[in-house]
Amino acid sequence: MKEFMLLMQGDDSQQASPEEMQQRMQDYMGWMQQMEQSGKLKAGQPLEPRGALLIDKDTVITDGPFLEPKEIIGGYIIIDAADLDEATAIAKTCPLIEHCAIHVRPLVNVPS
Amino acid sequence: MSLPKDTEIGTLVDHLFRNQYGKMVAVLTSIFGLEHLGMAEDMVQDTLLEAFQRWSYGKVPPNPEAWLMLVAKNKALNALKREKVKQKVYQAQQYESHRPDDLDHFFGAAEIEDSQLRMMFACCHPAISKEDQIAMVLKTLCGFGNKEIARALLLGEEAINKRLYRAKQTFKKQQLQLTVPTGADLNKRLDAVCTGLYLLFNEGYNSHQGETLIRKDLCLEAMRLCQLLLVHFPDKTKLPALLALMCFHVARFDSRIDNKGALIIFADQDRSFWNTSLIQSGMYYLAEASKGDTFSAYHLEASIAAQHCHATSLETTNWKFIQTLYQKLYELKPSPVILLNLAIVAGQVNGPKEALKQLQLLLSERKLANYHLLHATLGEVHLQLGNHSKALAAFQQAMQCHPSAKEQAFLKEKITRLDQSS
Repeated sequence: MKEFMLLMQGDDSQQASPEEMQQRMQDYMGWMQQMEQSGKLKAGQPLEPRGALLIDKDTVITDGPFLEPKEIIGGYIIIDAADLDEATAIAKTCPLIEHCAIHVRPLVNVPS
Repeated sequence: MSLPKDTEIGTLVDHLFRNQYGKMVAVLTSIFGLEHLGMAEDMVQDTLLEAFQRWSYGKVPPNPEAWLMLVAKNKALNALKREKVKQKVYQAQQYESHRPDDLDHFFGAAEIEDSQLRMMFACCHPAISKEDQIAMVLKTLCGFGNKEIARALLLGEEAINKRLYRAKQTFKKQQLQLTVPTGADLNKRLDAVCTGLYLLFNEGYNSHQGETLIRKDLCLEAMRLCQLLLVHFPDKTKLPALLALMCFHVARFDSRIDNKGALIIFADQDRSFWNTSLIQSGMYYLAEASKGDTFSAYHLEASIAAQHCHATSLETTNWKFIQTLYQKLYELKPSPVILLNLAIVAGQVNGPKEALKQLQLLLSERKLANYHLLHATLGEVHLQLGNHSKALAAFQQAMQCHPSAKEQAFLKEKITRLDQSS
């Protein structure tokens, strides 16, 4: 088993109606629960839609949403999967894929 | 970090976001003034987004409504702290007596309801056109998105954007205040709100186009707002009358469409599908409505609907009484549609010949000449009298009057059957 990080990028929920938002949330919660019950979900956290972007030492963009909405990373989760193919297949089942892009990145296991 | 440990999905009530949106917008607009409605809407949208993010990764808080209100309150506080907004708010608004850091007052349960009430009076202000009112009520009080309003009202999203924009401009230009009218003004303004809710309800109930689910939502929202009004004005018997009318109609909502989505006419509806608990609520409100000394068209319409709900079949319906009620309704609201209904009832009381006479009178006066239901009714009456060729002509005439897709299908079937038998 390897660990993979799923990064959710670019959410169009800002434009969603309250009803749509609730539906999306419930779909996503249901999926997360399934992932947890199957033992595949290791961790996960949402990210605030603000922060700082350091282009270089002298170029720091802060204060509020600093990127285009389609570039904002909304959150991440870490899952267990046999290989990249399985991790990608799992990411495809995530209901958020209807509304954002998902990066699937293998974590490198650095022995301590 | 926290992950969902138990089953938390079931804890969210249907339409929670939508309903809370309406409440939060009303409260925040009470704080900032009607001219800042747009800002309030943005804050509420942000609040819901925050919930969406946090709740999907963690647990839904035990009291989601209170959680949302608290986040909205903090957003309002932050906005007030920003000097620019503070000045704008102080210039324009009526709540100067409240210190910016003291917002608790606005978030009490009773005050939240009052905010919604004030918002209802603002959205149904006579300065706003009737069509714009419906869009505004759906947006601000019911938390519908523009796309959903467009879908429910069978209009383009662009048209809805225009309506909402126009209404908000009127708020600003005419400096409308968020207040509940008092004294002599109250009755007049309350009438306007009732009309707004009645129209909203009819949008959902009478159109046979679009998706059933979202149209039923319109009806249920109109009922919810009507109930809110009733709690605050228990002496205004118009309100329980209107609510009774809505209950009786919604009770029959599901029996009007068969499982293939086709229209079922009243005579063929399976009465066992009628929602008895809604009928009981309707009867209760109708009894409440008759306690006062005022009498309205809603009283009559509710009484007519009650008669239908009471009856176990078309044959056992008290048509004679319904006829009297319609006659009274016509005196209050002289509209040709009521004459059409009177003709149908006359058919039940006095036979199809009498119905035909009244329908022909309507036709000769060129009233409702382009109304498909007049021609469809005429077709039915001719059928009963055995005039098949005249029935066929009437149904074909009805087809020319742009009925909805479902009604077209219904008429086509009639026409094909007549064609085959002739």
